[in-house]
Amino acid sequence: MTDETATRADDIPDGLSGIRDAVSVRLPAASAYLSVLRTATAGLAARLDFTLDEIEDLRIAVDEACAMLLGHAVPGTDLLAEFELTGQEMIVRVEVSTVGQSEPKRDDFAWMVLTALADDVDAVTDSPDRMAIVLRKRRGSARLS
Amino acid sequence: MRHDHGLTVTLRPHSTRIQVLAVAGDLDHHTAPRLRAALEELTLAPGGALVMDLSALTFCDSTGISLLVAAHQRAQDAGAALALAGLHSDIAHVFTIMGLDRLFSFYESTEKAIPALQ
Repeated sequence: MTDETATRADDIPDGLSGIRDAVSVRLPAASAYLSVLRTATAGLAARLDFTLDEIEDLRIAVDEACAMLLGHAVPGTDLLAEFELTGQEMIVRVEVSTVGQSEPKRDDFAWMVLTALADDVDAVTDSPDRMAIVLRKRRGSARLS
Repeated sequence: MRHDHGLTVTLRPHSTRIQVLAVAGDLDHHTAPRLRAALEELTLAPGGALVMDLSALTFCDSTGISLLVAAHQRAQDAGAALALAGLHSDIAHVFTIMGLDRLFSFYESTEKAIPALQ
């Protein structure tokens, strides 16, 4: 990671290929903040030269993932969004604190939309009191329909 | 919390039979209750029509889509027509993925939807 960061600093004129940045956003786990996170997502995707269509897909995907988590989040806690930006793709992990539930519902309409818009989606269950969704979106991948 | 990205819902009766509901702003998990309330207040009569003017809709997620599907269902039950007008292409993309282009009647604008419903 350290090496890559150093490479990036040296390679900026060569474009985006060397980028490997991590951005964390911590927000109250409340639906009022969804729009803030969508704006952050769009800004970061634009930095990777995603197309407008890809940015829109990502904005909706992150929103869906968070909306799914918010239904299970302990009131008064935070939602943590971690973005990993490489030259070709963005990986977003969103996570909330729950009470003893770690699996989001995969038969949900939101999950359907989410999996249709992101290239790869997974629910991460490494702790019984945390619920996390990780999604990936690659630049220039074929768009459905 | 009042500092959300506002969703504005405005009802504009066009004639005794046709009503236009303009939905502007971000329609998400947070703002959806506002549209749900507006839809619940609407009276849909047999032979009537509702045009949802979505030309100023800037965002729509699955919560919003579910509401539109519920509105479609309600209109059908009441014997009324429902048309979606002015939906931006980037938002329409999700509708297409979900197969909703087969459920709804889409029009380029409210002005084009109204004559079609007369």
